[in-house]
This record gives sequence, structure tokens and C-alpha cells, in this order.
Amino acid sequence: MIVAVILGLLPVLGQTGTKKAGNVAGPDVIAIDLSKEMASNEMKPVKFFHAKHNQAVEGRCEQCHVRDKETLVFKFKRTDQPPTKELYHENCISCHAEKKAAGRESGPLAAECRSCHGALAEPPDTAWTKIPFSKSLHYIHESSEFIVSTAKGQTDNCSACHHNANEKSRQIYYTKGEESACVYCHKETKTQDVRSIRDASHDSCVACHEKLGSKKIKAGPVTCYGCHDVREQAKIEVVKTVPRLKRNQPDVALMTGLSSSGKNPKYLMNPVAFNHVGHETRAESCKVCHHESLKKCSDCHTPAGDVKGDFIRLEQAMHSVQSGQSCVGCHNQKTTASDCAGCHAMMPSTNLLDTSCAVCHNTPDNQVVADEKMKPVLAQKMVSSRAKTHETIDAEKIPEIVQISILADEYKPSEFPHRKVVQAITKRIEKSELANAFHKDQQALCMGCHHNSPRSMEPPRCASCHGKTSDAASGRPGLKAAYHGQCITCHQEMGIKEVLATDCIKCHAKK
Amino acid sequence: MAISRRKFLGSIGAAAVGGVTGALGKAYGASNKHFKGYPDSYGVLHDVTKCIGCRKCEDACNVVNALPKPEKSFEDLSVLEEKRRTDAGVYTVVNQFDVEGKKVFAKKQCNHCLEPACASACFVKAFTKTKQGAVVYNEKLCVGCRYCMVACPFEVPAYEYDDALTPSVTKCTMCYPLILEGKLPGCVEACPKGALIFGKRDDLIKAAWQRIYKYPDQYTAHVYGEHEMGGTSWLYLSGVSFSDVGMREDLGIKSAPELTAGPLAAVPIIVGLWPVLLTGVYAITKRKEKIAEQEKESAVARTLEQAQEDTAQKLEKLKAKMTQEKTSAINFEVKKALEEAAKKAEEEAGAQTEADASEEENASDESMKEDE
Repeated sequence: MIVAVILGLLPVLGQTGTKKAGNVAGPDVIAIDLSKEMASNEMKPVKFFHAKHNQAVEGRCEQCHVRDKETLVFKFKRTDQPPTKELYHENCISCHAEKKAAGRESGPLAAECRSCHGALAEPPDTAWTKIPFSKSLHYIHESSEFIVSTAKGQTDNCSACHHNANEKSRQIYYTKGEESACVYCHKETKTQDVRSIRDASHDSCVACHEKLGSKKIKAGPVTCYGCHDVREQAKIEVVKTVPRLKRNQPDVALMTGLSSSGKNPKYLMNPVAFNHVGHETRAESCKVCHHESLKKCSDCHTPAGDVKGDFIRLEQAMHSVQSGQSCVGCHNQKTTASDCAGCHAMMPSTNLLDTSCAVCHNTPDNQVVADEKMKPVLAQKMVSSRAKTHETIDAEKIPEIVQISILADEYKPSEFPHRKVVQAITKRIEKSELANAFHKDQQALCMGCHHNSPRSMEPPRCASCHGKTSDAASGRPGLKAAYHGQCITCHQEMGIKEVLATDCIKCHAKK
Repeated sequence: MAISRRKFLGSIGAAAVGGVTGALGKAYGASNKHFKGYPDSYGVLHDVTKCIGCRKCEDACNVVNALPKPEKSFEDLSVLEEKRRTDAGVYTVVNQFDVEGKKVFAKKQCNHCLEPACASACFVKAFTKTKQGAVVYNEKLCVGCRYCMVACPFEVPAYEYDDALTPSVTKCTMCYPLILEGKLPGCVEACPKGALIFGKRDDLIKAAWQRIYKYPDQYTAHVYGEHEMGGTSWLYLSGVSFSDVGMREDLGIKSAPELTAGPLAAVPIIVGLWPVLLTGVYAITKRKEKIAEQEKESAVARTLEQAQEDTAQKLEKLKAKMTQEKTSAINFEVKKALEEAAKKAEEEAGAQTEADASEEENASDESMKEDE
């Protein structure tokens, strides 16, 4: 009977345990897992609280980490050697014992195996967050007077962090103008020759922070929380206007695809004059587009597809709607911003308008440019000639009030402040270069509501297409649903003050 | 004569196997067809992403079906704070869900299954799936067992518990009378947002999938009701997982009748077979008893007959023997007499002749032997 009661309670206790989802470990929890190093694996990994130990040793990293030359090795009590059970047991337990003997709070001692082991069934669910090394953060390092170049004759400090590697001699060296993002080589997990991004950044960043910090120089964080806690990340200074990165990148590029052969070869699709410098200021970092290396897109993504580019063709790499790295994909993601979503949320994301192609593929001439030097010149010419703003329509030409009376029965006709709405939408996006590039003229904005019909100052009436009831065969909403659908969805998406769902008289006066 | 336990269990087993195999053969063995509902039947597509929780559908339902007015008016959105279900006087409810900080609304009513569980559970056929798509209820047939309420996987049918005399089961009718008049169901007519579309079920499925293809980011790629419980006439689209808006995702795609057809089909066979079986067992036992009785009787008769025959035979034998003995005795006597007579005659003849003396001696020897 008692056993039954206990058994009955068990699942309940288990549930309450797991339901405390909010109780996530801090970003400092490290799993000490020697399963790869040890043949037999009797004990579960250890859940190690780094911040707690850091506090216990009063910030003296050498208590656990070996000091090698001027930097610390971020491995426990060793340099390159593989970790062993004995290493951990001897050092951890002896330190705990010392603390206990000194009458201080201490960790588990010998024969208290499960106090350390077994608290962890799987990798801990921590609040650990990757720290984005943004342009601002890059600039803070780039402009620091304390970070100095190790190579001789350098006017900047790039070589302090950036390096290349010679695969044969297994030496690292620095070449000016070949700096790249760390993750291009240092992947999530270590490869045969290259450290993981975790080890590489701890070895370089934290060690440098520690070194500078010990000289009483203001340096970056050395604790787990300092970099990997969201609240701490928010405290990091942000430089608003970051000077352009110096890596000899082009201002513009003429993007071309396949061309015809023969005497007078032509590009099969009009080339794109790509404003590289313009995109640099918009993107968070180079990695947004250059996801694997800083090479040209077409080096890997060839028009026909190649193993280098994972068989993703140039056309797909530029136009994939789903990918955040492609032009169209990234532009499409931008339309979810509240300024844009009022119209774009109701537009099918899959079908691109016929007019969209020419927005980018806008070179007037598709003659093949044989001279590589001429390409940027041509592209520059195209980019500079682009209008930065869109053409506006005279306010008087926009109907001021549109009375929607066709459905009025219970309420008075709705007085729709048409001009006010048009102008409000225009104002929300007038500063967006992307919007101005794609909308060109204000009439494009009309298409947000007056959709599926050719551009016109006198668009067809809503009732021309939307019948009394919704049409099941086409899925086309009825007139009432169409009106409410557009108004309410736009208000919701653009974050306009919510109206109670039953507050009909807000728009329709009572009869 | 009592049936032995072994016999009893054996006969049950035989009946069950017979019944189940019979039913399986009928339900599954014969075809791979899947019932897709009446052709051109109607349905409603509820697009959860479009619902704003205004409760106009609830209001319209109340009016169209002449249901009792609720305590709180339909304008009062505070009722959305708690999860509600359909009730005797409420055929449809809109519930509010908080999904990742966003308010999502979903309407609930009878889903009008293509093969309704309620209809299959009802043993008086009070529920009918009409060819228009609506599942309608006939209170004149209902006996109030409420099996339909237990059977419904969507927990829709309600019961008028407060009606002591003529309680009936209540649920959404898809406004069947209005459909017959070519009108829209009350809720669909009232929905200001187009969150409800009425039309041919096949068209609605196409329209639903079209929305998913056109707006892949806005919809979960699943049309709820297309296959659930064998398909329902009421279909749903959602931007979040269906379980997040209070809909069961564990129902599977088999209709209730399909799931229960096997065991249920076996019931009438077993029930029908029982009298036959027991009568048969009884008859067989009876017949056996009768035959045994007959055999016994005939055996007795035969024994008796045999005994009589034996006696007669013995008697006959005895008689024959006695007769034989008699005749032999007579013959002997006759012979003796004849011999005596012959001797006498010889003696008489010897006396008369010269050799009379010797003949007299022989004769006396012979008579002496005879005496011995």
C-alpha cells in the first residue's frame, strides 16, 4: 500500500521538477565530459559551475589554469595534454579538502561521487548566448590603443587577431588584406588542425582581456557572464557610426551570369550593378552574405552549380526566398518589419512580381564586358544614377475620404480617411532605401491595398472582384471579409493601437 | 443433462472467431477504398489566423437557432478569459489562446465528421450524415442514452440536463435548414473577417492548401479535418500548432466507425448466434439422450427376445431328445418284444422237432444274459 502511494507520487514529483522551465542554469555551466577520452564510462559528466569557482578563488585564474608565457591556458591544470580522470580528481578534491580544512565552504570530497557526477543527464540547458561580434564591437577593438600589431611595419592592429595558416608548415602568419572572419576556419567543432571557435576565441579573447586587465587597463570581460549573458551583452558600448572596414573590398560590383558565345557575346540576363558599400552599412557583418569566405559569390556558386558551392547554383544563391543569405531572401526578411508588413504580410511571399527582376537587373546594355577593369566603372555609373527617393503623387490627386457604403446596413457607411492612410504609410517608409529602390514611385504603395490589378490612379473597385460571400473555389474573401481583412491586418502588422474586436463604432458610426 | 465447462468455452470461442472473421472480411478484406464523404458535400473552412475573437459567430448562432440568451452579452469579451466548451444552449464557442505572447482565437463547434462517431454509436439512428455534409439529429428517435456524447472525439454533443421531461442532445447543425434554402450558416454569414468560408468541401481543401503554399511563413502546413478521424466537413487552418489552440492532434486518420467496425460488427453476430448455438447444443444433447434411450430399449428387447428364443430352442431340443428317447425306448421294447416273440416261436418249433432239447438250452442262456 505504502509502495503504491510512493509510486503514485513519483511521476507527479518528476513533473513538477521538469515544469520549472524558467529555472535555467546560467551561461557559466560547463559539462566536464571525458567520455571521449576514457574507454569505460562509469560516471556521468560533471556539471561544473565556473562562476562559483571563479568567486571561490577570488579571480585568481592560476589556481586552475596554467600560465603559459603571458597568457593563460583555458584548460584545467594542463596545457596541451588530454584530460584525465586522475587530473580532475586529484586537483578538484584536494582543493575542496583544503577549503574544508580551512573551515570554508567547500565542494564535494572523495567518495561523494554523485555530488559532482550525475547531476547532468544531457548537455545543460543554460542561458548561454552566442556573443555577436558586431561591426561596433569590431571597431572598438580596431580603434583600441592597447591592442597593438605583433607584425612589424603595420599601421593598424589587424594582425593582433587576424591570421592565416600555412597548412604544410603548420605555422600561422599574417597577410595584409586577407583578414577574414574567425568562423571561416574555426568551426563549431574542432577539426584535425584547427581549434573550435570556442577554444580559439577563449584562448585569444579571454586571455587578452585577462592580460590587459591585470595591467589595470580597461579590457573586455573575462567571466562567462561577461560575454555570454544577454543582460551583460546589452551593457556593451555600441558605436553608432562605424567607419568602413578596411579590406580592399569593392564599392560596387557588376554581377554577371551566363553569356552567349560567338562574335558578339551577350549576357543572357542583364547584369546587376551591386552597391557593395551600401550593403556593408546595412548588414550586421560580412558574414551575413559571405557565409563561408570573403570570396566572390560566383567563385563557389557557379551558374551551373559546383561541389564548391554545395551545388547551389548562382541563380539559387541570389534568388532563394527561404535563405537569409540570398539577395531575395534577405530582402524578403526585411518586409516583415512593422513598417513594411502592413502591406507585405498580405502578399504571397513566393510569387515575385514580373517587375521585380528589373529592379536589380537594370543595366541597359547586356553586352559582355571583356575588360575586368571596366566592370566596376560601369557598375559605379549605374549605382550613382539611381534615384535615392521615390516619385511622389500630388496630395490632391489622392482621394481624401472614401465612403465605403456598399455594405452598410447595421451601421452607417464607413468614412475611410484614404489620404491620411496613404500619407501615413508613405511616411513610415520614406527613409528606407530598400523601399525606395523597389517602390520607385508612390503608385507602388497603392498596390498594397489595390492589389492584383495593374497600377493605375483609378484602380478597380474592391467589389469588382470581391463578391458578397467568400468564394470557396478560389479562396477569395467576400467583400466584407476583404475590407476587414485589409484594415485590421494592416493595423495589427504595423503596430497601430489595438481596437477591441467588438468596438465596431470606431470605424462605423451607429445608425 | 449439463454441458461440461470445456464444451461451453469451446462453443464461445467458435462463435467469436466466426463472428470476427466474418466482420473483418466485410470491413477490410474486400476493398482498399477510403470513404471521402459525399461528393459535392459542403463544409466550412475556419482560418484561425484570421479570427479576431469578436464572437459575432456565437451571436449569430444564438439567433439562428433561437437559443436562450446568455448571462453575459456577446459584446462582452471577458468570457474569453476562460476556456469554454459547447453546451446545451451553446452550439459554438470561440476560445482565446496565448501562444508565445500572441493572442490566437479559435472557434469550436461540431466538426460534422464524414463518418460521424456519434452516428455510429447511436443504436436508434438518431444521427444522420446528410449528403449536404451536415450531421443532423432527430430528437424523435433519441432515447437519451448519450452514447453520442461519449463517442464524439471532439466533445461536442451536449444534453439538456435541465429539461426533466423531454431532454434532447444538442449540437451545431451546420444550419442545415439554411443550407437547404441555399443560404449560408449563421456563423459564416456573420464573420466579418472571412475567418469562416462556406463551400464545397473539396474546394475548401484546395483553397486551404493554396493559402499554405502562398503564405508558407504564416501557416502550419496542415489542414486540420482533411484527414482527422477519417475527415470532417469543418476544416481548419492555423499559424500555430493545432494543439496550441485546443485541438486534439492524437486522433489519427481513421474514422470512428472504421475503428469500431470490427468489434461492433461482431456484436450482432455473437448476439444472434447465441440462441442458435444454445438451442443447437440443447438439441444435440436432447437427441443424444433420445438415441441412448432408444438404444437401451432395443437392447432390452433384443435380450428378451434372445432369451425367449433360447428357452424355446432349449425346450425344442429337450422335446426332441425326449421324443427320441421315447421312440428308442419304444423301438427297444418293440424289438425286445419281437425277439421274445421270435424266441417263443422257435421254442415252439423245436419242441415239435428232434432238436428241440439244444434249442431249449440256448434260449435259457440268452434269457439269463438279458436278466443281467
